[in-house]
Amino acid sequence: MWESLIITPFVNVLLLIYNLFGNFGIAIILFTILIRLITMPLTSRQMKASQKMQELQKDEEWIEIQKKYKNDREKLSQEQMRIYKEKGINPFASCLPTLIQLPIIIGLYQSLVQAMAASPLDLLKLTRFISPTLLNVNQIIPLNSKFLWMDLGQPERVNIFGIGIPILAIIVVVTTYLQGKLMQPPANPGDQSAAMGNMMNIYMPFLMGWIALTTASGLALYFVVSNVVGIIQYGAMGKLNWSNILPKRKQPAPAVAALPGKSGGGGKSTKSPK
Amino acid sequence: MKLSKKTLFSLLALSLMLTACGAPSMAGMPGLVVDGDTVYTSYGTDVSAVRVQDGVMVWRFPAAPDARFFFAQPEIAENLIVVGDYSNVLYGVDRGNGQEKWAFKGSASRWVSSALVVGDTVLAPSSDGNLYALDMNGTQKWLFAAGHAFWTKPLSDGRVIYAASLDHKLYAIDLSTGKEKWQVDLGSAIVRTPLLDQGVIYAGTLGGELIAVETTSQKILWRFKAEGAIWFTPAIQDGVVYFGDVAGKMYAVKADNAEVVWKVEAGSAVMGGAAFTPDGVIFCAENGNVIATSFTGEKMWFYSVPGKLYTGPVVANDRIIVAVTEGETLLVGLDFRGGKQWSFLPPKQ
Repeated sequence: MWESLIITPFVNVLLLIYNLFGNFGIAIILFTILIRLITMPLTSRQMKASQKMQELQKDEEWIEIQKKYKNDREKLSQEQMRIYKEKGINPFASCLPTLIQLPIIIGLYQSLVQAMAASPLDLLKLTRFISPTLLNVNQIIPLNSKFLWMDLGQPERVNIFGIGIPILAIIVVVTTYLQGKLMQPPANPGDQSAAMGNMMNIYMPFLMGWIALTTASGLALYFVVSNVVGIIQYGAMGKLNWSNILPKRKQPAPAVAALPGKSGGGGKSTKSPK
Repeated sequence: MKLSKKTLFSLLALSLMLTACGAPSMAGMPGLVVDGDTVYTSYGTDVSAVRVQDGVMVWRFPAAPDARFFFAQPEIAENLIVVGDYSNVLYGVDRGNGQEKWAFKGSASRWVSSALVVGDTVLAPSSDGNLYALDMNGTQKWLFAAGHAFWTKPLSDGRVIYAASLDHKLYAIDLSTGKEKWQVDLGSAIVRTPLLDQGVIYAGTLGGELIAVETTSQKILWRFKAEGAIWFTPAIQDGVVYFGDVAGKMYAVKADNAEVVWKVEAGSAVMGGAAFTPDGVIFCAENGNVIATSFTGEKMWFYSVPGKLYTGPVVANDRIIVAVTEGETLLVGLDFRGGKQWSFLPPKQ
């Protein structure tokens, strides 16, 4: 079911693009952009929903009920639901697009792994995914996996003075970090989700970098393209938070002091959204 | 920064998911070769030497399994077993006790196929597209570069090496110098080792053709179109070539003109290669069936193994041995009537 609904069409589209350009690197780039464009409406909805939830965190009434009912979870929950209703916010609206996108992203990733077919068993599987009406196996196998200085089927290293430098893995770390920071909204003091976001921004680049270092460079290329497209998408929607990476200017003193022992996010407003 | 248990769990789950998805594929088909009373197999973390008669392990390499993965068929020399792994290293292993004698680390990619030993030269085809010629101590003599990966074992008549590549080409290479003598484009990738018999090479292609090439003239003598891709090393006896395809057909065609002698349905993809018993031909099907046909194409018996069969059977003494992928055992030893005699799985350590 998963293979026939997701992997088979993905593999065939990826290989159709490859067949047009004759280069697997270009096919990975174009296919990743295509999938990100197709899922853009979902990304956009998710962002709007997240934005609403973010704004709600700064709402005076919301802050008030958090304090007032901090020892009564049931009442707090009732009050939160009331505010959601009043403001027309669906608390799950930011999760649903993510849930729909998840199988697409996993499918994209698995299709790339499948298409690189580094062993006979993988190639056998790949040939079974290929639609003979769309593609001629004699023409596309073997795939031309050379792209720039890389063999996309192998981990990438650039030999500098006899030392193999993993340039692509470094780019993966940098772009993953940039994407995480640029897409992270301004945080409120003591915000648990912001704390988790900060942790992810440290942890994820190294995790992705490690995967890029140890696996086929085709996957690392996908990570880079995906990160860059993600940044461009958010930029096009005007949602990039440059203050997270640019040197901070001196901010005017906030209207509400930060909680003792907690650090506040740069450039945040304490006013309720209009 | 204080991390809640929920956050920590999410991060760990995400790490596991991404690491699992991003891990290089370690899937493979077992390598299987027999010499005298011993069968040598490579699958996963083990290369094992096993007694043909009763399936008892003689030695394993490495002695304790580690991060190395072996799927290339071992090659047997006088005192040496040559086998490559998925970490790009080719090993010379003592044939008697399974101890490592040398390691060649010159390949830029994994070893999928078997090497060939001709005289005092090891000819090792790599997925990096190079055919490496080494001496018996693992030192490189020369290399020959093809247009793409080698997944097939080279063939030789003692003077010339014939090597088929995924790049669609069959190369003839001078054994002493490594220089190309000629090449023939077969029009499709060759994924399984061809057969060399009396100056003719029979090569199956991913495009589903069995092609006969005369080595002296480099001419294509004939092309036979099968119903599916050929992942099969053909076998020849008495002027008849036997092979199978992924569409599930077993074929017998005349070696001189490709005229079909018989064609029989196997019920599943027929892969690997065939072996001969005194009574007929043994094929392996992907669905786990070991099928015995007479030389005239009648099915004599079949034995069903739990797992998949991608590797051709071998015959030694009075045993048929098959190697199983994703099964409960690695090797199964049958008698010539299809009765199971033993099974073998490398002991866990």
